[in-house]
Amino acid sequence: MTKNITLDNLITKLEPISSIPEVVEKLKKELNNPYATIEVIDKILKNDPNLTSLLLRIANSSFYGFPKKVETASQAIRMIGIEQIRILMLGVSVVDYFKNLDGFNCLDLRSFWEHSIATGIACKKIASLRKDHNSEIYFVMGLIHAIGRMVFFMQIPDVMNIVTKKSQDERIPLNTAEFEIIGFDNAEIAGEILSKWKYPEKIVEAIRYQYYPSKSNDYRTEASTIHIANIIVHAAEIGDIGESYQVPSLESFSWKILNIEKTKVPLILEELDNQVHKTMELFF
Amino acid sequence: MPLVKTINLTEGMLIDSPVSTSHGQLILNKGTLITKEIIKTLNIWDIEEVKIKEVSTKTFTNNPIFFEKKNKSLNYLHAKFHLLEGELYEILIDACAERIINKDLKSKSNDQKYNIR
Repeated sequence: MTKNITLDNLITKLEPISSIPEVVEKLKKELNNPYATIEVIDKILKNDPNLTSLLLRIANSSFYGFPKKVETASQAIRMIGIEQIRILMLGVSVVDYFKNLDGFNCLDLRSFWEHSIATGIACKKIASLRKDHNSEIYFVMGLIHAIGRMVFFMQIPDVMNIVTKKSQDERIPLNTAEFEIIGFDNAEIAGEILSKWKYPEKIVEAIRYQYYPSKSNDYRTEASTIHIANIIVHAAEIGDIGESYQVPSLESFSWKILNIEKTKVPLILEELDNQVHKTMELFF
Repeated sequence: MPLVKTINLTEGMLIDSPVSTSHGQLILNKGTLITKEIIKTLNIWDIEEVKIKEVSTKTFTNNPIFFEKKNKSLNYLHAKFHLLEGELYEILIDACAERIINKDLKSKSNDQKYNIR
């Protein structure tokens, strides 16, 4: 185990998420306000054309598939809902934050986000197959599930080379090799980061327990959704988060708890083939 | 010639003459091997009729090119899925092998499209 790497010293190297644009902070604050009005939110959005444009692209994307074009940010908010936008913004903030960081040369960034977006889409589809219609939160969980891996590759690339070699040589999961060499895996650091940034407990815990959903106390279904979605996206070879040489291991508990019908798995693959590139266009 | 909707299309049948939509758009060449994906496509397009040649599943799976492709895909995936097990492994290896073959077939030129004989 590498003794001088700790969760704290990796996290303290990261700027707090408050370094995201002020307008997003304002929006988050306002969206957290139970008395928020659409007019105030619309006014805030008008100060940031990029954010407004993103919101409109999301509203007009296949993610929602509204029959009529959404023309304004306030219309988008009315149609999607404040809570749903708040959740989506939590995901968008993280993507924007990591997209703009320097020093990430070890992985293809586009490929990293392609995998992440695909995992978000697979999470959303699994949730809908289970008749759980909180699609935004599942999408966001998948979208940001691998940020810990990104932090590893960004901050300790040499160690990650050793970790990857160990995983390949010994045919063990990459997160297991991370744990054995670093002392904790990417899910644990992602959980710590998101907790520090005060993300909702459901997202934090689902991501923290994504490799061992049965160990989660309160969010086993959510963690299992990420677990299975990540496996399916690896199997479909969409994008790369550093483990493209194998499909991660399965905790059979997750497959059982989600109780997805066998015949529905090809539908998830089909959804990925139909949606990933369109959704990528929203972010890049 | 029967209407497509009345034909119980199964994987492994061969298209015996070119198939067009009612607007005349050619969609399948003669010799096209019916796959699950094609069945789905035929069911949503406005196909008026289709001539097919019954080929047994045995002929289909013994088709050397298909067999080779399927085997290659399965071997490749089996190695890659070494950490998976159980029902999810079985479902994913089958679905992903088919996905690889379909993607491979799609990448061929129009003349060869879907025709793996």
